[in-house]
Amino acid sequence: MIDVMNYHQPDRSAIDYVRPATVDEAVAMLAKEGTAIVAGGTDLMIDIRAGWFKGNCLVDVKHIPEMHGIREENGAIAIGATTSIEELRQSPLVREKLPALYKATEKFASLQVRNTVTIGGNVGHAAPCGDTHPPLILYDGEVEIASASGRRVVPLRETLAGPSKSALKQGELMTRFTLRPRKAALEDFQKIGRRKDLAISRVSLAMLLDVDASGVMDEVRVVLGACMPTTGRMPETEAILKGNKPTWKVFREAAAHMAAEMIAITGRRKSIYYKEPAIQGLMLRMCIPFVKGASK
Amino acid sequence: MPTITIKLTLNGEQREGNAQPAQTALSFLRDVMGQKSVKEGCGIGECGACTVIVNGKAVNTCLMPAGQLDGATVITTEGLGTEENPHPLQSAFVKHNAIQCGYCSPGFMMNAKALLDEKPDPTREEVSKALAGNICRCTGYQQIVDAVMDAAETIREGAGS
Repeated sequence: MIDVMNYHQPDRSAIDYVRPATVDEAVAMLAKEGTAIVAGGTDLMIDIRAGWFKGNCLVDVKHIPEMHGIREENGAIAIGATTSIEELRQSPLVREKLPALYKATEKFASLQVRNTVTIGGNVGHAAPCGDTHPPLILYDGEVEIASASGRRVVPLRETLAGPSKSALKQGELMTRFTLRPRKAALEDFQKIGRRKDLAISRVSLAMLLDVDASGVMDEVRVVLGACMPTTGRMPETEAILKGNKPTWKVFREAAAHMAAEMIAITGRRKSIYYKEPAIQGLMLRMCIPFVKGASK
Repeated sequence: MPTITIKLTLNGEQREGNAQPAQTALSFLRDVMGQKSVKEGCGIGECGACTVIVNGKAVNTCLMPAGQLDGATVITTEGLGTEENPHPLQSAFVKHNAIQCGYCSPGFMMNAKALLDEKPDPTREEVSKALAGNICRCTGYQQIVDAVMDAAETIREGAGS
């Protein structure tokens, strides 16, 4: 929180700015100590304003053509790291193939912020409440990381090291994300914030559920966001649902277990009186159309 | 001390100025380019008072490093209209009493202009949704949405005639 009464704009005069044209140029610059990646700037500029930024140079990757755009490649969707949230929201490909990601972009901040924020920044900043994290993990998201020693691909989950702590090292740069669409009976993202727009998620949930010919759930993915140090799938909760028919009884059991799974990770913090019932309600609310549809 | 020269198209004119690279685009536009319509409200991207149109998109300039304006096309409220010849949005804001203290108005108008440039015939809900990132603490939002709907109609009629 910024202390308004004792607030002075920090000195920005020592911070330099460079604009590399290619990924190779960018990673060469980023290898130097004190450099930081800037794309949208929506988190970094706040850090600078608050005096938290200790670096000496901004490396602006926003103009690297390779790192931008949305493409379909062999059934997967590749998203450049500097693609803005609003570009994702307006993409027919995202809306059709990755509906849970589309829903997250719909509820993301404000139009001005969506026009600016990049998907790479939202992941790289690693805030627990990052609204792209649940859908990216839901669709088995992988991220390509470039550095001076070459490129590697890792599951997105592995880049989230802790609250606002990315696993990326100095000199590494996320270049693009690969998501795998999976058509299912239910693909959804919902969040609870303090208001409708420009709300930081208190809790968020992405789910992908499908049933086989006998009406039994054969594909179950549950990703809980915002209320744990990092966003991730809930394996025990998924195990309760998998192999069962989608009934209220099984969803109530799964929702209660998801709350217990969360508490096992976070402990009983003081917000738990709110969050314990809230995440259960969120899961049950999300399942309403699915349970009704399946019982026909 | 690093300084960079920023060349941009500002309200249709080629302009250039020196900036500290990590300066916000807001303070560059306001203090170096003299665009006093660009206001700092919260400084952290929540209030929308600093909204301008950069390359056709409404953005919060408090969150943008000045360096990113190099080569950009920027429209501020100074480029919208004049007192003698106001833009339909400006006339509509006056007509519908959508202004009280006026601090938020330039941000609202720039966001509304970006919306109407992209979508000349929005619904009330679309206008409300698009303006969700702008905060007004005195007028009330109904008058502002009324003004944008009215301006949209005026612009459409103007384009049709």
